[in-house]
Amino acid sequence: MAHRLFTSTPLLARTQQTLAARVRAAVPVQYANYVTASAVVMAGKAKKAAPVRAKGQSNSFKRKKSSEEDSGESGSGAAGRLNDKYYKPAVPVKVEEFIPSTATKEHVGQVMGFPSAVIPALSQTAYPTLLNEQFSLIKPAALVVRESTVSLLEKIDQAMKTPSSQSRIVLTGEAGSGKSATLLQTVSHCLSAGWVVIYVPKASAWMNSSFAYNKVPNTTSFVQPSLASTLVGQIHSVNKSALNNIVTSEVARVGRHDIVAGTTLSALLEIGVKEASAAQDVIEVFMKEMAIQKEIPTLIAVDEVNSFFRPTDYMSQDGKELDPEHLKLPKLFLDYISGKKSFDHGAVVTATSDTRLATKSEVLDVALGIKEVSPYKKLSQSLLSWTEGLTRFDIPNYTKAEAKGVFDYYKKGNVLYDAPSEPLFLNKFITSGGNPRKFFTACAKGI
Amino acid sequence: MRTSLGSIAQTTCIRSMSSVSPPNVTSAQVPPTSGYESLSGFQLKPASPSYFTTNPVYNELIVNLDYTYSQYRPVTKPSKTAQRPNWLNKDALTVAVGVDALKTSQYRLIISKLNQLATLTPRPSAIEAIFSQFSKSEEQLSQKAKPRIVDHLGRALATGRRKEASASVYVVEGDGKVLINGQDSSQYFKKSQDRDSVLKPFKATNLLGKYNVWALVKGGGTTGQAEAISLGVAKALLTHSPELKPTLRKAGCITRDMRVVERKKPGQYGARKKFQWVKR
Repeated sequence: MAHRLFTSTPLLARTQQTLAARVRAAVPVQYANYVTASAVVMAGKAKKAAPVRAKGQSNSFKRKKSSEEDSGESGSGAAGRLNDKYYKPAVPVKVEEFIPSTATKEHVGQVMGFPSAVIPALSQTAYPTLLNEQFSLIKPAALVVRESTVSLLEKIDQAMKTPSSQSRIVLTGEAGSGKSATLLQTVSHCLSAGWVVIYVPKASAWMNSSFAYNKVPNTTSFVQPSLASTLVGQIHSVNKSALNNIVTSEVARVGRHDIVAGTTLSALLEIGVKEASAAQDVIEVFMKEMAIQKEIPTLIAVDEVNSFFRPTDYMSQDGKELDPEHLKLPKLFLDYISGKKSFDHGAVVTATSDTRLATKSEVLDVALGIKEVSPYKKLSQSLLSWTEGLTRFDIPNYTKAEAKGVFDYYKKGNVLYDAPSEPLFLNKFITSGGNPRKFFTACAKGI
Repeated sequence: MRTSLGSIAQTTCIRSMSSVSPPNVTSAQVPPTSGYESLSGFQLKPASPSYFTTNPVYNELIVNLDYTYSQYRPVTKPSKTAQRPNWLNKDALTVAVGVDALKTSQYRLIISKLNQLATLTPRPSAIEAIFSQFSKSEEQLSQKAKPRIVDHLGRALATGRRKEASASVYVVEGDGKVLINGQDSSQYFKKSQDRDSVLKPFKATNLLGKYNVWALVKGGGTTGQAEAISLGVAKALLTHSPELKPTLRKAGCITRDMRVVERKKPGQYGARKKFQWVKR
């Protein structure tokens, strides 16, 4: 297609020009591949817009400048066009780094940024969706140290030398109370401490049938090759240095490859990145090896874990909804979350998502004691069996001290909608009830 | 019916009534004065035409008041500055008149007619006699309304209303919690405007975070309920600290917003919308 558009044509009258030539005249070269019917129509209209006037006749109507409407940079361009009241310039805020030594009670209420050593790792996986909005508003990305953060990280530090089956924590709380943020702080803390971290920011994407799935022959299980491959790539890039030093202990078969004992885990993961069909086997071997070795602890961090405890959006061959245990990759994670498999040193920290009500899991809520149902209500026993031994960790709303620290951070970042003052802080704190997400929208958007 | 009517007739009025005694059923010796008296008495002429109204006592009172005014108006001059007595409240007046119950409209009508009589100067003694029945005595005047107080638990109770919403609000010293019908205000009100209006009295007086609010609200819609709570909070705050009144009045927190839905009028679609105008 493209080559026809780049042929040179002599300048002919409009009716004599070919379609291709007309399009080429109308469409700039860099967009030449994106020719649509509308482009042709617009080209024709543009030719009509210039009326021919006889000499001596005054042109009382000034032709409107169409350049203003065409330009796409209405927001970031000339400063004179922007209302200073609403468009304040972004001010990068200077924050301390959130390193393991700063996760103490003295630092509660201080907003701390992710360490520079950790940011490249965190950028491999996306931030949780709604937190991303706050991070894009104030740079660099930073979170406040809260009392719940400190107590959770104390637990994690104690879990460093114990099997992961003993530390399977689920972060719970109302919508917008800071579960994903606390999980992110845990991930950052463990990366700084040298753990191997497997961070899944959006488990619901695994279960909403957005990834292709194939049936494994002679079983009732399904495998998601592209998902497994993506995950393997993420693990590889997040934990590069740590995985170079760990080697496999025995022979294994992944896809069409035989892995000898003594291959580094990063080399193993590279196979999974290159071949999606082998990725599932790669990750199973990887998890097994990490479970056996004792030098480096492993953290599995899963956000939106409630999607693991409800039927998926995938269909079986009979047209019935698949349970998570029939998908190999989620089942692998469920084994570690439920304690059926365990790392010798490590922890499993998960967080529920209360924002998207469609993915709420009644089974998980009942198992954790969040919800009570009638004893006659039939709950899926297979799903219930995965919830045994989960520890519930409640994330409350902001205390006044924490909210004050966040308010000062917003003030420095120049995102407050109204003029900052103590009465304004009290107003926002009381009207939002201390809920972090509501506090943010109240401060930054005034709603 | 007869007792109070009789007393009004004899002491003040002027209007003559034929007082016919009920027939003595047992005596056959008394010769009947008219053909009607031979029967058991149901065809007797009543003392006053008010007998045929729904509320004879009330009706008779209104008629008497009107008659009194028409009698004395020619010999006196109405004066706007004449002193009006302190009339009894509705319950006391009900007892004084001698009915079971008085509607507010009936009470108001009686009071307006009494006030009209009070404008006649110099005040005739007959009218003075009427007034003595329906005005407050010395001891009643000294009784004052129960003042609003902060109770033994530190709570001040006040009510606020806006449109059809009605809120009863407790304000107690605390750290700034707001509970509405048991829920936190951030859960109960979805609009930030509503949440802010609840806190408006505190904001105006710089007392944010010093008081807790417990509000029970029903009726109306979201904004109406929010404004009702706001008014209640302001009144309760006045109970705690009356010196805040000028500040709150300036901020407009203690003015009861009288705006209500306007009624529909006949001959129109709604309150204001008219039918299609036809030239002819």
